[in-house]
Amino acid sequence: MSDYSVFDIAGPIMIGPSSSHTAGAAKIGLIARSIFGKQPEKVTLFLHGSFAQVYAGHATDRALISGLLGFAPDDTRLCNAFDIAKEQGMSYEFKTKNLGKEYHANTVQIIMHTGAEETTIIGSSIGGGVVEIKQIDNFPVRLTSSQARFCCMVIWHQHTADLIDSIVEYLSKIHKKIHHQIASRDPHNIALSLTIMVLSQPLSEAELKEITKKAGITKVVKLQDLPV
Amino acid sequence: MYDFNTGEKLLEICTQSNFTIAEVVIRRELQLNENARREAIMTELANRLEVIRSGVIEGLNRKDKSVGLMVGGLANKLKARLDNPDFAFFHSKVVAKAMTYAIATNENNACMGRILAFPTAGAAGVIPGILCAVAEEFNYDDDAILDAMLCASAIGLIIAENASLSGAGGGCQAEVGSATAMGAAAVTQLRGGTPTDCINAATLALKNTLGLVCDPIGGMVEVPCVKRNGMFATMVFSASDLTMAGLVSFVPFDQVVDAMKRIGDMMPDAHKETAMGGLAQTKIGREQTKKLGIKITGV
Repeated sequence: MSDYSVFDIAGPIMIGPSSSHTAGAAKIGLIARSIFGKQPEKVTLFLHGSFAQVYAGHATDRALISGLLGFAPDDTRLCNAFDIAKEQGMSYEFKTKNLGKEYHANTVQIIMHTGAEETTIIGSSIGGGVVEIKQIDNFPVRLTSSQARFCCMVIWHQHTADLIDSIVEYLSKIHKKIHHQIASRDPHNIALSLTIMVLSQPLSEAELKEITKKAGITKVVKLQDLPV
Repeated sequence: MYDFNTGEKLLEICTQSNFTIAEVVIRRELQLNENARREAIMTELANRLEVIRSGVIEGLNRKDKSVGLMVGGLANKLKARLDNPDFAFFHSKVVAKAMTYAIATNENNACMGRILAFPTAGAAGVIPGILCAVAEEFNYDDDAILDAMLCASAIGLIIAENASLSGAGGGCQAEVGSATAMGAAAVTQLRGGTPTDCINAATLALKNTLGLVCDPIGGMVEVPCVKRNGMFATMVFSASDLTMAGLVSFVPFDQVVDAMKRIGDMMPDAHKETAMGGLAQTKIGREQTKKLGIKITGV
């Protein structure tokens, strides 16, 4: 059975002018913010391909910042995202960069900073407002907007098999079903791993804290109820 | 049980169950997501109908220029003509209204207003245009309009599955062409057509848009997109009228979708939303692109 929903056809609700270059860009910004775990103080954005070519006419830049500020793709504050970012003390810089042929034409790399904390993501807007996160820091992944929409956990951790087993065990104990799991290794440092767990039920803050306590974990964030 | 990937399969389900296309779509949606509830789906759809309506109203009232400065105030001008008893449209009131409302929606989109991408932002005007116009002129209630949206979505689902809904994927035939086909099925259901009639209207509309390229100036969703949505909204009524008068498409729906897919695949990249061909590369198109500081590489 095809997994297109009626709401993929009759949607998304969005601020114009383009589902791929505006709504998709806003979604990438929103997911990037959630992966960072909070609003970054400083962001550098590298626009690739068609994003680099025609961003101005589609407000791709404003849409990305709007998402990074936590606004949904249909939030009219998208139009004033630059001013709001200044008010809220989020500095931003746009550059263009050829990320390589392997990336979709509508792709952006976002580096987010707060103090010494830094996270980089690469996201692509593949059409009709559907987006995919292709890389988190050095970890190649494939996280789609429909997976990020409901509930998923991104875990940065040491590469130890026991750790993931103990998380799986804990989730099973609190009756949270893992719908889909993505495991990725840092090609430059094999000791580091990133695991994404797409869950069928939402996770509470307390439950997330419980998982964060486990030995070998660097960082855990949850993406939940994102309007993407 | 209610899953369909083709027009043929959809009609088979409708015939066996004696349901409308809208009812089959709702049951398919319930089957797709075990947590979904009919009431919640209809509430969300009603929410989206409100976005359609407010987008039309915003578009009719706004007089500002679009981001690319190529459209703005067009719907407002048309609305004034509609309200002026001394101005005569060739089209009947409902068709002139649909054309106006479609342009209003796309203009709102081009001016960074809030819209429903149904099925895409570039083709966002056709369906809102015709639905708002027929609701006003023929007094259809919201329940009937929501069912019409479901019927339109069925056509969109089949096209998305077998071809494409995006200009980058298959040219404008895939965007505005699909929206026109979806709209034709929707109005045909509203006026009491059978599921076979709805599919036939969609077929006639889609067949008539084959080959349409996506060549917007500067890659922006403005020229020719905004006026094109208005003009294709009028074609929705032709397709539905021909159908209800008993004219049947020689080529069946699924074969037209297949033709659209093959045409899209053979279409050069220059005519698939890259702004590297057609209208985008006319003298005025290049001048406007330059004026806006947009660089189209590869030309």
